[in-house]
Amino acid sequence: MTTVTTTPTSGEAEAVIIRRAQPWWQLLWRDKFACVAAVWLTVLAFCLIIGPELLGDTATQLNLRARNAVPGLENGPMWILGGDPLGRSLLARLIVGARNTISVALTAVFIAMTVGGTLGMVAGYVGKWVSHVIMRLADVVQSFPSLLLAVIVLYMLEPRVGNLIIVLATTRTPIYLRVTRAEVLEIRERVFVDASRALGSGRFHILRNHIAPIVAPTLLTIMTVDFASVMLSESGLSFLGIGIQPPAITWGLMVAQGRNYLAQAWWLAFFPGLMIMFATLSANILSSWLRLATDPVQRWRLETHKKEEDDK
Amino acid sequence: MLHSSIALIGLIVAVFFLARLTGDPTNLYLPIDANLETRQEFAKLHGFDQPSHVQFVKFVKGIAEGDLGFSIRKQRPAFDIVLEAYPTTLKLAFTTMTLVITFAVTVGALAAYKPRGVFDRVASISSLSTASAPDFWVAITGILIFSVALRWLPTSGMGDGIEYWIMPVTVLMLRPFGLQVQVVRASMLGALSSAYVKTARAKGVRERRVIYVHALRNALLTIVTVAGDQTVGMINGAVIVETVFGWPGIGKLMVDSVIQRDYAIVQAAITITASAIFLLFIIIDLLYVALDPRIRHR
Amino acid sequence: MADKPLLEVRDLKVEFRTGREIVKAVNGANFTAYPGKTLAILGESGSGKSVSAQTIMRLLQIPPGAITGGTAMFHGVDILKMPMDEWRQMSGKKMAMVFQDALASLNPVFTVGWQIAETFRIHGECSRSEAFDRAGALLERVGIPAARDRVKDFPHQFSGGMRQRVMIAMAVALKPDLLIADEPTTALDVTVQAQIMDLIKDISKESGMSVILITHDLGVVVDVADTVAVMYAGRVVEGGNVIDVLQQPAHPYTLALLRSAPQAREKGERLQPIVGSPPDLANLPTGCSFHPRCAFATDICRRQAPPIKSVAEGRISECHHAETVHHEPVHA
Repeated sequence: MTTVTTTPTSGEAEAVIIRRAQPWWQLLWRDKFACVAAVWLTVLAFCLIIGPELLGDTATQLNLRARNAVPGLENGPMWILGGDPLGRSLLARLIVGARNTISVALTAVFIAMTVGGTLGMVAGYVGKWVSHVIMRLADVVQSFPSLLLAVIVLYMLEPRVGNLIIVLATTRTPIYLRVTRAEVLEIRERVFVDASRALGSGRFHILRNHIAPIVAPTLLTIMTVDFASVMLSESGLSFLGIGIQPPAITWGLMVAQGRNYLAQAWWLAFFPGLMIMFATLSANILSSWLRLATDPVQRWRLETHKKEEDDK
Repeated sequence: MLHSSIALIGLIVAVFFLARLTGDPTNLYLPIDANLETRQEFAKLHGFDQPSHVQFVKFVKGIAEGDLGFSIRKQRPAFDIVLEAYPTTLKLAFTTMTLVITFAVTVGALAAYKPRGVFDRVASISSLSTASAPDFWVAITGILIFSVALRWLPTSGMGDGIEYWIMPVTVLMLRPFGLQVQVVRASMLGALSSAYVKTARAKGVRERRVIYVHALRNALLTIVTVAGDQTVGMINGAVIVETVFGWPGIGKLMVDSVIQRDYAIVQAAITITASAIFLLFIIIDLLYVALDPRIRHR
Repeated sequence: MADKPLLEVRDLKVEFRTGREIVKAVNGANFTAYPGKTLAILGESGSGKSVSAQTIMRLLQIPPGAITGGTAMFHGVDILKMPMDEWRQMSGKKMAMVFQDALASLNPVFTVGWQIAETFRIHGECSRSEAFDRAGALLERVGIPAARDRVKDFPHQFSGGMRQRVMIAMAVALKPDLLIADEPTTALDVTVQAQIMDLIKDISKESGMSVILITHDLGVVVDVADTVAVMYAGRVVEGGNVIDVLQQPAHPYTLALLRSAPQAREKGERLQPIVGSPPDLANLPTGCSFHPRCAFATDICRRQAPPIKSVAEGRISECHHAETVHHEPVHA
């Protein structure tokens, strides 16, 4: 044969394109939708961390003049989105609701990721038998509609926040499990792991130093989508009355309560729902941006200037 | 198939034992304020005072004979009640899935044809939006606009006229449509940048045929998988949609039974739903074999 | 070489644009294919040979790719400027292509018979059943055993060599004037490689079809080509008759290739790998692109791009020191 080596030619063009990466913030700046989404999520994070403290008791303060107040500035800036049947500021309640809604979703996703990721690594790295048991368990959870599963479990257990988080986390765990396992199975066959093993590293070392860094970006992308879908599930359950119970506030619960006043005060159900939608939409936009930004073959689509894309 | 049957059995067993593990099963069947005497009488009548394994044998025997327990509240066999609710949900799910696949394939394929073009951007944002919308909120906002304000559509109920179907079907379509558009787009993009599409173009195949014959036929494999999962997920949406629009389907039945604490119906509904899902998975497997020659010849 | 050229590519330039930089994959390549002859385009990966071929077949993905200059005259028309609709009628009929990876290049969900028959059908040649008959005949011609029964088989049911035969059958179905074969044997076993090259040679002889063979393999060039164009950094740096070029190369890159190739080695001689690494196509060296790796490089090579020189009858070389190199013995 010959010493002039070659990579597969069909990939040649792609290989030339992807060599030099741009820093992520430049890529983010290029995609205006992703940019807005990131800003919105930052605002929500702000509400989550210090919002309720900043507001004090505004969210619980009764204001009889502002009962079912129409959105506008007549009752002061806090009542810009209107007031509820007890005259409490809807805006303040939305901000307080943000903490519950988002922290439930975040906790559930985080638990699902940790448990799923760990189980996935175990399933990918240990013997066939254990792996088999883990995968069948994942099948059981995944083959049944998640909301239904949550409805049933919350029926049998008490609808407490802790239970709600556990149920939501359980329904999402199989996804992380499968993704991690698939990646582990692929990566562990690669040469560098063999090399590392030959040098005498233990399993834990290989998992932590070689496999975890590669699996992490994929898991992060899934986490953002999952955050959106867990938030929708929690809102749905709270809306049905089997999620978070009053007097705690979440956006889903606020929609359910506002539903009774639909004809008189539409804003009570409308704005909380809109908040849910904006939050999930932002997470979804950001995750599809992440997916593109971490995929070397598709990444040029983010890097190319708009003008050049229009020729053809 | 073996996998899904293990899942099916696992789920039924789990439902049985979870109910026993959470303490006194009479809690699940009777109102919370029922007195001790009623509870004991009830437990004796339904064999709850016997050891778990005896109850389990009875439970499995019951399933084999089509006896899934008795609804105390409705004074009827749970099996019959659940079976009556199913056609409504199936009709709703079937209509929705047909529309979802038709629209999603059209939109997703067009979006993939010119990635980052105007149509693609509009399609991406609108599919992301529908996938992100909380269905219960869209449902009541829809009622607010089309029923309360404009008086075009009925607020709730199930009827033969198309006006009863518009809102429930639309709301139920939202999430699966949004997700499926993205799946179609991604798998079409993958197929369109593949080597076999290059071959087809080199042969002189017109672009329209490249997209709708060469690429779509391959993308179909992924589309079918996702559509299968979504059909299972229809139950999630049905719970919300049937509750909001007052449709007498399985979703509403389950939520009502949960709220009224009628465990026999919940248990029957789960068993039947799990079996239906099991059947669906078999159909998807068969469809997959029909679509992918590589699986057929293995 | 008195024949009229079949395909004449002049000053072809192709770029890939990303946010930060422009990757110049092809920088003014010239080559010519004559009727009934085989032209080999020889080069390492990244030399632009494959991109050139795909550009001529109008298969370049735009964006990120862009044709920034040049012409490709085929049957007297510039096919790069032809409207796509018109080109698709010509593509597959007058000019066809065989790709490297036959498994990926055949559609996995259609039978091979269907895929070959499609070529006839879309160019309006014949009816469905006749197309299938002709597909069977073609498979027989390319040497597939029990061809008539195998038209109903799917690509994954064939071996690597047999799949490449199917690709060839599909490409030559309409007896094109020109076949572009992009590394057709790279993915195959050594024993099968020769059979596939022989098949291409036979069909070309039989029907007077021209072949452009894209390859990195000197052995293949010697075996089948009449003329050769050596590509480096997106330019054809040397061209001419195969025997002449390989016996007396006039470009230092060709010379280095020969000295590093096991096939060209004489007994007891040591292989000399080419020093340095392939050029960065986004930041090409000034002057002659090859100068950082060249043993003959002088000051002028760093400053000025070399002109195209004719070193002998039908021989061109882009090197300031072409004459010196031309007289250098291959086996030192």
